[in-house]
Formats: sequence, C-alpha cells, structure tokens
Amino acid sequence: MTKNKRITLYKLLSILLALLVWQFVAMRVNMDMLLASPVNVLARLFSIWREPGFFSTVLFSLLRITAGYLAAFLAAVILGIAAGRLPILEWLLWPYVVTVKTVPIASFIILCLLWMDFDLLTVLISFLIAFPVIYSNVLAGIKNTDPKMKELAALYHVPWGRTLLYIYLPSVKPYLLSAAAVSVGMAWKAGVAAEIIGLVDGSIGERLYQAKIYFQNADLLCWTLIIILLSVLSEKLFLLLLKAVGKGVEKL
Amino acid sequence: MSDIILSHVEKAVGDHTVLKDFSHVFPEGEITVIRGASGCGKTTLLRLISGIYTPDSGEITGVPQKLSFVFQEDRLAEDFSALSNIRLVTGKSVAREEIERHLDELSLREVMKKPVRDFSGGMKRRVAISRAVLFDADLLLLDEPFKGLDQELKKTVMDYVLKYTRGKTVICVTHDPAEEDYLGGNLLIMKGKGRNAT
Repeated sequence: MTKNKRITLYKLLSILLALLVWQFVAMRVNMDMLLASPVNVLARLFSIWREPGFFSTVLFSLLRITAGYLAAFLAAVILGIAAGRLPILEWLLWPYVVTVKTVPIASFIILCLLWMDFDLLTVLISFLIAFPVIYSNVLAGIKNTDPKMKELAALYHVPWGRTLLYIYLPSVKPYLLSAAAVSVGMAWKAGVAAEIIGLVDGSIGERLYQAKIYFQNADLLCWTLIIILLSVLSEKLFLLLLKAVGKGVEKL
Repeated sequence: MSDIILSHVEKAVGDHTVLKDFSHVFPEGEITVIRGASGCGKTTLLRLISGIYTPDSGEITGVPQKLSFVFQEDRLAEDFSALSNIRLVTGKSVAREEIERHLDELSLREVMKKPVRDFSGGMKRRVAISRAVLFDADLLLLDEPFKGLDQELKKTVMDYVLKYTRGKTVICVTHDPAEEDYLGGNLLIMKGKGRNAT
C-alpha cells in the first residue's frame, strides 16, 4: 500500500471512529433535542432539501456572502497592490485594517444592525472578515517581490502595467491563493453568525436560530453540515477560478 | 551617442571601498572586455555605468538613455514563456516574427512558448541574452554572460551577440581568456580597488 493510500485509509478510519463515538454519545444522552445522532442528522439531510424554501434560503445566504467576499477580494487586491507601491497609502489604511482585525466580529455585527438595512448585514460582515486577510497577504506578496526583478524592470523602463503582470503578480500569487483558502471559510462563518445575531429573514442563520429555539437539534446539525459543504465548495471553486486566471495570465 | 567617460570615480559598498579614483574611457560603438580578479569591482563598475549605483565621488558621462544589461543571474519571470520574458522589456516595439527569428538563432524556437522555469540553465541564459539584444539599446552591459554555457553553445551565443551589437557600445565582464580573445575589442584589466591597467 502506498503512503498516500495509507494516509487516506487512516483518515477514513478516524472519521468512522468519530462518527461511532458521536452515535454512542447520542444513544447515551438519548434525547434528540440535546444531541441528534449522526444517523438522524443524515436522514434529516435527505429530507430537508425537499422542504419549501430550502433553496431560496441557501441562495439568500450564498448570494450575500459571495457578494461580500468578492467585493472584499477586489478591494483588497487593488488596495494591497496600491499600498505596496505607495507607503503613504499603507499607513493611511493601517488603522482601519488593524481595527477590523482586532475588534470582535460580534461588535461589528451589532454596530451594523444600528446603522443599516438587515439585508446588507451579511454582505458587509463577509466583506469585513475577508478584507484584512486578503489585503495583508497581497501587501506581503508585493513587498516580497524579488528586488532583482524590480531592478531589472527599472533598468529597462518597463511600464507599470507590464511590471505588475510579469513581476508583481507572480510574487503575489502564492500569498493570494493561501489567503483565499483561509478567507472563504471565514466569510461563511462570520456571514452566518451575522445572520443569527441579526435574525436576517430568509437566511441560513435564521434557520439555525429557529432550530435552536425549537430544540430541533437534528436541523441545527443538518444546517451546520450544509454550511460546511457550501463553504468548502465555494473555497474549492474560487481557488480553481483563481488558478485558471493565473494560468491564463501566464500564457499572455 | 558618445564615449562613456569615468573620471576619478569612487564607490564603496557598505564599508568596503570597491572603486577608488577610477578613470577610464569606453569608446563609443566598440566592444570593451573587462577582466580582473574576483572582488576587484567589475560588477560594481557595470552597475555604476548602468545607473543602478551612483558614484560616491567622481563623474560618469556619455551613458545613453537606452541601455540593456545581462546580469550574472538570469532574472527571468519564471512562470512566463521565453517570448513573454522578451516582451516584458520590448513590449510591442519588436515584432513577434523578429523575436522568433532571434530565438531560432539560439535554438530556442521550439520551446519559446514554454515557461522558462522548465528550462535548463543554459537555455535561461540564452533567453536573458536575447532579451538584452532585442531591447535594441545603444549600450549593452554584459556581466559574465556566457557563464555556464558549453564551449560549442558559447561560440554560437558570442557570434549572436557580435552580430547584433555591431556599431554599439558593449562592455563585457569575463574571467575566461578564450571569451576575451573571441570577442576581441578593447581590453581593460582591473586590479585591486579598480586600479586599471589597459
């Protein structure tokens, strides 16, 4: 058996064991409203998507979290590149970035509830959680660009656009991919948290909240699984898209 | 264009004085080969002429605005093709057919669309040299440009450089007396701290 196959087998066995532990604990507790068993959660997963409003709920959260994330991604890439070139901009943005990084996201959610329409809450919170991660990584990529390549560009009077494409972007690429891999999941977690705290109508967060107040533990875990699935799928798709764009740029 | 004149140039890198009271004239439109022991300031001299370094004292005149430089390292955008690496400095000012012809002369046409990260050291070197030649500058600075090329390839690449830089000012640093003989032109032998003996 190859090393990779052995690792996969160990992982599968660990998951199976964890599920057995979960099943055992659920049977011991013997109260579905406190801890639903994995079998019940799985059964609920197969029935929940047929319920009216399932797809509109998923779409509601998906669209808002994606919109917030993409806006953060665009803003962070543009500002990260600009700040990498203009130190003054980095200093001007520094207080905002540090504030967003350090202030608990729950405080932002409550502040936003005072200021804005509930519909936009998820968008803004996803934006706020993703922006500093992507921005910091883009900035690090720009700052760590090979000085010898920058020297070459200056010597040959290479225009800024070409320097960005051929010299800065390849340096930013690994930072951007790692930032994207981390921040998509963070945007989902924060977005759904905002929906729960803000009780945003028609959202996944609202469904989670209802599951909690009605002691529907199977529903709660089922929606949690759905969030994980959506988060992982979004992350994989976005990384694929980024890599495809990167390959396209390299062929220019 | 005019001769490149260095008058009483001094340059320290960190605490170390690399060039002291260095004066020399590089004749316009001619090849000058620079030879000297390691650490005597050959690369520093090229960097001063290119404007990457500024002299601590003394004066450098006659350096054209448009110059190209083959560094000791290849300095290629590794994810991009040979074609793109040349386009990086030339933009659209050189026709694609022209670039292809040059790469063909250096036996790189077949691989010109592949990312240079997959190239051997010798192939990367040829791309770097072709990029500098195609930039069509008035001054070409070459810092040990043929290092790492086998004898046969070295001859091909030297012929290529000689062919396309005729009438231009070329300053080439080398350690290899055979390269020095093949390139011909003027010889500048640098001694400690840039004291020159021509």
